[in-house]
Amino acid sequence: MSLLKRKLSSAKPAAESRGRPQRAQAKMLAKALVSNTAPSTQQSLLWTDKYEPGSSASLAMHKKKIEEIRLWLRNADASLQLGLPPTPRMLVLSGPPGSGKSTMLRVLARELGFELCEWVEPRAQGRPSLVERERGEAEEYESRVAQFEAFVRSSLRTLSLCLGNGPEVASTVRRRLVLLDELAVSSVSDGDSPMQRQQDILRRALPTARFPVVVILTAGSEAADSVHRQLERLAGPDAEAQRLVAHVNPVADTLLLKALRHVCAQEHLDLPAGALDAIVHSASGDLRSALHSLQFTAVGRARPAATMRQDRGGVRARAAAAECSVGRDRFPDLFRTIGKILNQPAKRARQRAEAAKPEAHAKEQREPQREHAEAPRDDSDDFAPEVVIQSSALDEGMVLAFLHHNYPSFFESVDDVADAAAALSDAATLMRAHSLSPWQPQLLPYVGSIGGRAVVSCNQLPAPPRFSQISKPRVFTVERLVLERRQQAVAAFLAPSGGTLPVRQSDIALQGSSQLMVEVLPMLQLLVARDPTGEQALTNTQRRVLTELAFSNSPCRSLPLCTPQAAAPPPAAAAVSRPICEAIPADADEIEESD
Amino acid sequence: MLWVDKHRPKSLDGLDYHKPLSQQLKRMVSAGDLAHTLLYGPSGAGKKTRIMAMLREIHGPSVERLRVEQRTFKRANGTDIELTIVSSNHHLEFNPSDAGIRDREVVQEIIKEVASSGPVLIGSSNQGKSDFKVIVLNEVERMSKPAQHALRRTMEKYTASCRLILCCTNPSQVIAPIRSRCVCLRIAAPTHEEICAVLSAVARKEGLNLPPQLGLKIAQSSERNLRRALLTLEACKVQQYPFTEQQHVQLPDWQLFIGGVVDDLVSEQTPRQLLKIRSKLYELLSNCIPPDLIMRTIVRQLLSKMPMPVRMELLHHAAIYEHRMQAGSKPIFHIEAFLARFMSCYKKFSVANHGK
Repeated sequence: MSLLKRKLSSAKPAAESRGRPQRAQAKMLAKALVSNTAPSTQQSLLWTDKYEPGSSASLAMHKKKIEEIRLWLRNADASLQLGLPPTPRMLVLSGPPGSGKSTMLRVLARELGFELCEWVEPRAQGRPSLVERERGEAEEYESRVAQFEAFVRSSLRTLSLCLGNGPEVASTVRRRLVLLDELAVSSVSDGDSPMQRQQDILRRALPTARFPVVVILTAGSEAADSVHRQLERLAGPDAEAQRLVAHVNPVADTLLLKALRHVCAQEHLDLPAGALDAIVHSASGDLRSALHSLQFTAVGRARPAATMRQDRGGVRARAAAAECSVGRDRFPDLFRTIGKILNQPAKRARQRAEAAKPEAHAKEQREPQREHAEAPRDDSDDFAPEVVIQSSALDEGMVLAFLHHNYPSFFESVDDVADAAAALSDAATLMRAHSLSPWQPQLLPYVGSIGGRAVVSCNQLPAPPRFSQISKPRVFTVERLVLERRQQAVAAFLAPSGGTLPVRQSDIALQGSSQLMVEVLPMLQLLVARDPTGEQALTNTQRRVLTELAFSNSPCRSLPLCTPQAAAPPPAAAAVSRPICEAIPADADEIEESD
Repeated sequence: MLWVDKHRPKSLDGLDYHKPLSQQLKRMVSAGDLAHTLLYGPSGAGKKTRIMAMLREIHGPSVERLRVEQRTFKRANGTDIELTIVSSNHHLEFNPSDAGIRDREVVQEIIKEVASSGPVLIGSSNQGKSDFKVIVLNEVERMSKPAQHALRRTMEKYTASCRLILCCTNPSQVIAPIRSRCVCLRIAAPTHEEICAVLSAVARKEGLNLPPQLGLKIAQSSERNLRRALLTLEACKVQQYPFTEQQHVQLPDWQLFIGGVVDDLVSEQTPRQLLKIRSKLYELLSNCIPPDLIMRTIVRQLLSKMPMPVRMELLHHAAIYEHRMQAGSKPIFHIEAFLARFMSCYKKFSVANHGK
């Protein structure tokens, strides 16, 4: 039942194209079936829906990007129809919200004659109440994950099931694009959460998919790393060959302005130029938000007849801009926030030096020692790191990690570093206490506050200003690496069906992994490094684990593997981010070779 | 096969040291009943060897026919827990802390299962001799408190059909009710002489000639851990044979690496140096060396290099940050804070001394 509903909504071919109000009405009915929140009259349509572009020419996006995606779509479809594997069958489209990712895909699918199957997150549907069940009118409860699994299976494999009841999905259509929009990606990977299972389902289904899949991930431009992490969780690290990553940039201001002008013209709305500029500025590349702002601004404004005198701009325009700029808060990004905090001591020192300069001569003669002793404790400028952190809307743990990773290069004296490090360690302890009982959020402000103040107040002798780059903390990578390697090692050495093992399984199987890592494996490394082909018969997986665990100064950094074929390392992680335009010709070559 | 495994004693009589304890165990077993037992002692002292020898004494050589299996436990909400279990016909062994925070359910489940099937299985095969199954639990101290309490209840409930042998390094982390229900046996780490004796015995069996001085050196470098000593011996043999007395004893890489960190610490105390050390720490951590071990090794190596007045401060701060590390997340924060503090102290000290 619910499956059918989804199909209904997926048949909604995205846009209510202008000039065909009846169709739009019908579609809205379909929409209303799915979610009751849909507006019921055309008047109250959101402009973002009303003015969805109908062709790729009117998309507010760079032409090149559109062409890339179009090319991939064609290639992927061709290769899948012919049964050739090489072209990645999954496209991951990432970009900030409101940059037109989904819209572009819908438009392209329509233009290329693809049938679009879109996963719509099911309505928050509780288990049917007892009363409903008694009356027998509750539809069968199906868990979200089960629904997802059914959707993935039916949409990726079989064609006949997914029927378009609209006229535009012709019966001859044999092409389909499966769109997974806004998949929730879980942050924990314990194999437990429903999201995790959702990812597993997708990962399993992908190799046998018969249609191209597009996954849309929404992420800000500064969080490119998080996109990668999400990706890894989503499709597994081994699926790199099967997917392609494209990033959509925020809509350029000029394009934004153009789009808004177009809408204004359609709506016969005449806003002063300043107002439009203000909206564009505050939207910061988010077309959806810009349109919302525009609509909001236009509400209740008299729609003048087509003519209005333009020359009344001037002061009034600016006033209008101030009045109507439905501002979104612009958050300063992470690096700037961290930099601001870390640079504060140097800035303060500079200010102090400047302030002291005129009086220096006079004071120097009178009481130079006291001046020197007093100066460092002077925190009189009211710089509050809390304010900076709060205004950036960042997670305190993240701020802490960044601060910790970057602070030493701003310090000159070890004593100060020691103080700051002690305070950061306090903050980390608090953070842990918070994560143990996350329902008590009152600890969090302290974390940011202590961390921020530590690097500012303790830094009495700031390093001379030089170019020091704020870099990403390694803590998280290291943590991930530890988990991965430990799992690998345990799997390689303690696998239940591991064949001939040099180490008696029962012994270390239960020693716990730390003993394996600390006592047994380092020695095994030494043994194997000295005597590569000796009696310690290791499998290749085991050798690889040993090599990976070797320190940079250790002799068994390059452990020879038994058979060179099997030794080929897994495809490098760089493949994830290879640009889309390079990937396709390379794969095309492969097709020719395989022929 | 590694020598550690190859030359592991099989029977209670064959154990090399702690002879009185072995005799005691033997008497206990021959009396026909085995109480719940808790063995504790440092790593590499021979706890596991003793357990296996004891089981062999009870059930005969068939306990050595081991199966390793990956068991999956269904939970009430449908998710699974995977756990490696080693078992023979007569016993079953696993590490409950592998199940993470869900160890409680796993422990209860397994014990219940064994207890309900145990008597039937054994009763049919050999009558009367020992109609109980043994469950060996490793790293009990890492079990969560709820799991330990659950274990306590289960222990009482199923005494008729199964016995528990618990194994841990630090009994203070095991709740008192469990300790009181077990015979607690301390397996002390072997002394240097005992290690030397074992080493030379193993060398004799391998047909090698081990000079006593080298044996002593290996024993000293192994920190009274017999497993490590035997592994080191094997590494030394691969490195250079015939042995010489002055032979360099091979240390594991991570120890050498920490040595490098300590040298860095002593040579220069600046924030820049701290950054350099930090990247080394990251390398250590990402090679799965546990943070507390890093901390401990650094402190130990520093202590031997520091003048007396600094040692006190060093230990003081080490204790503080070790505590923090156990309480908090992100060990790098705490290790680094400790190192920075140490640098500061040491710098002050050396400046003061130069001033004189």
